[in-house]
Amino acid sequence: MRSRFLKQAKAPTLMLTPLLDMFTIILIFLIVSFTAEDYDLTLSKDIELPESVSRSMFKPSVNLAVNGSEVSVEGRHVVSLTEGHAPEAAYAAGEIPELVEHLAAYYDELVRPLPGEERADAPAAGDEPVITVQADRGLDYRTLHLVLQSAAKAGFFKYRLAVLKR
Amino acid sequence: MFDAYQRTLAEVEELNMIPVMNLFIVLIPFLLATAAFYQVAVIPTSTPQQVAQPAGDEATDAVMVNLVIAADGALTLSATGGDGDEAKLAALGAELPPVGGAPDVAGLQARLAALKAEYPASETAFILPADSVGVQTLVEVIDGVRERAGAGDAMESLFPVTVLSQFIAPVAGEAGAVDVELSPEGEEPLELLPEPAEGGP
Repeated sequence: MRSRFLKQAKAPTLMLTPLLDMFTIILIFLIVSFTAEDYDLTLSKDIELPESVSRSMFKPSVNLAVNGSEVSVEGRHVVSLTEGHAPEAAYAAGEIPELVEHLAAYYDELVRPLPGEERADAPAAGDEPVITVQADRGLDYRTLHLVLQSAAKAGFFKYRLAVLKR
Repeated sequence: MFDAYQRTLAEVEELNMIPVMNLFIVLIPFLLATAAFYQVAVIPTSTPQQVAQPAGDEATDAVMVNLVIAADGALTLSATGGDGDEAKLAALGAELPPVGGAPDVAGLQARLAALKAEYPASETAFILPADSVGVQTLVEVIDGVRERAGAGDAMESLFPVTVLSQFIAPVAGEAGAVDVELSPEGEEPLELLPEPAEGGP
């Protein structure tokens, strides 16, 4: 005989309240930190960008990445580096010939006139093509300067150093 | 009456949280997938470019700052141009030894603010790092040159136009030089590419 003192069997229910609390907190955090900025920039592997307080926004341009082992343009390998250094001949010449050649092709593409337009000798002030440089924070300035010099020889005089907002 | 009240209490149903859970389960993966856990910014800069400048176009209330970053983090600040008062420009220059192995950015900003107060139209700074200076150190110095913390959250602009060049170590008895080659005649003065403080093309 079933004792009348035993509790009546009750269907178990899941306690959803703590789960909901957690979800609410996560959701609020994600909504607050959500940014709808569209970067046309693919961060290269093996590159740790320097940190900066700069607030200048990213704008579309040619992407050039330099890490300890290679220089790449728009994700395509251009030249290899050895522990962040180019061959000594490149430093002596003040340029990396492969990079100059590669960037010159991009420059021609960017300043190419539309059909029916005459090509100007140089882009108008403010319309100069720009390069976004992703340089590893461990890189030394000698190599960075060589890359910038090479870009300058291809026609790019303006750069944007990609950094992580601090 | 009391029994009726008890019955009413017993009949109160729990809120149906299933739709809320469904919503959360959809929203959270979406936000996680699209969240940016790092924010990329850029520092506009340029390299020197030699172009002809019309004669008599020099502003007297603007100077160009040259900042040499030595391999050990020491900073050497000098200024050229302005009203041509060499003594005043020399007094505004400075040699700042490294602090804790890093460049003395705070000291540099104080000097740059003094320069800016004296020549308010100044915007351009040449940065001349030594070969072995790291990119992170360079970026920290550029940050310090471009602006400094002002009152509250506002930033005070110092020299927003930064131009990267290379310091060539001086031969004994000579001053250091920038790696900019002048024209053979040496007649065309160097003019820097104008670069807006924020944004750009």
